[in-house]
Amino acid sequence: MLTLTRSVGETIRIGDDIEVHVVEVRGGTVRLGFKAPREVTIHREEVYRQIAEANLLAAQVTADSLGALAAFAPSASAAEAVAGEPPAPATQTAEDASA
Amino acid sequence: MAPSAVAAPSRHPATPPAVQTLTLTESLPGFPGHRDYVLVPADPAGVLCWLQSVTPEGPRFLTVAAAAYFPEYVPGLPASALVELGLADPAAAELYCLVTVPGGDVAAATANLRAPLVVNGDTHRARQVVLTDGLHPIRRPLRR
Repeated sequence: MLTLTRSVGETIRIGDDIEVHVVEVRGGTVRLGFKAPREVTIHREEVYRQIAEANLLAAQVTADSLGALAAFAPSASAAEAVAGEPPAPATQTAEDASA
Repeated sequence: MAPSAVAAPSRHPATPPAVQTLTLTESLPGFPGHRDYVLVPADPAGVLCWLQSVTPEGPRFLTVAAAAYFPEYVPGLPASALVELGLADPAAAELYCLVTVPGGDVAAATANLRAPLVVNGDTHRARQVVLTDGLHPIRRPLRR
């Protein structure tokens, strides 16, 4: 790994179009500024790892779970409720008759 | 337009949801080199979709249409991502969240709201956008 020493206000350039600025150093913390083309994404390492791990788990989902998962959609549960309604009007009719 | 879509009974869609080919502007973290995918409806209502790499033996992910599962989910998308995808109107972005089913237990299934797949349905360009606002969980339970 390449190691460079830089002071606050100084810059490192990576390739033609990526700049890393040392903005502030305080205690054990350094603030860095980045200028990079839009297609270059910049993440804190731990965030990138979290997303990568979540994606790796997501890639293991099988088709077995589809039906149950579809039923978790709010619109799907509304459809279930509509489908489950036919008995309800009958009950209501009975009540109306008794009233 | 939207009301008729809501009113259409999801059990009997008039037309099956369409398959979309997608080109990712950046590969998914953890899956470098895979940029060409198809988004294939996985259920009749089109609320679940497979995000399938076109590469043989490539990865496949299950996604949920965020609008169908999480109507209240309106994340602030970074301007850079909108420009990159050519989305002049953030509301035009289609959002899909990757699903994880730990140990195959659907009751424990979660969706990643922290890093949605943002799709421009006109150009079929897409990317996974990592939100930095700290408001949206990586593992939001799907079960209600």
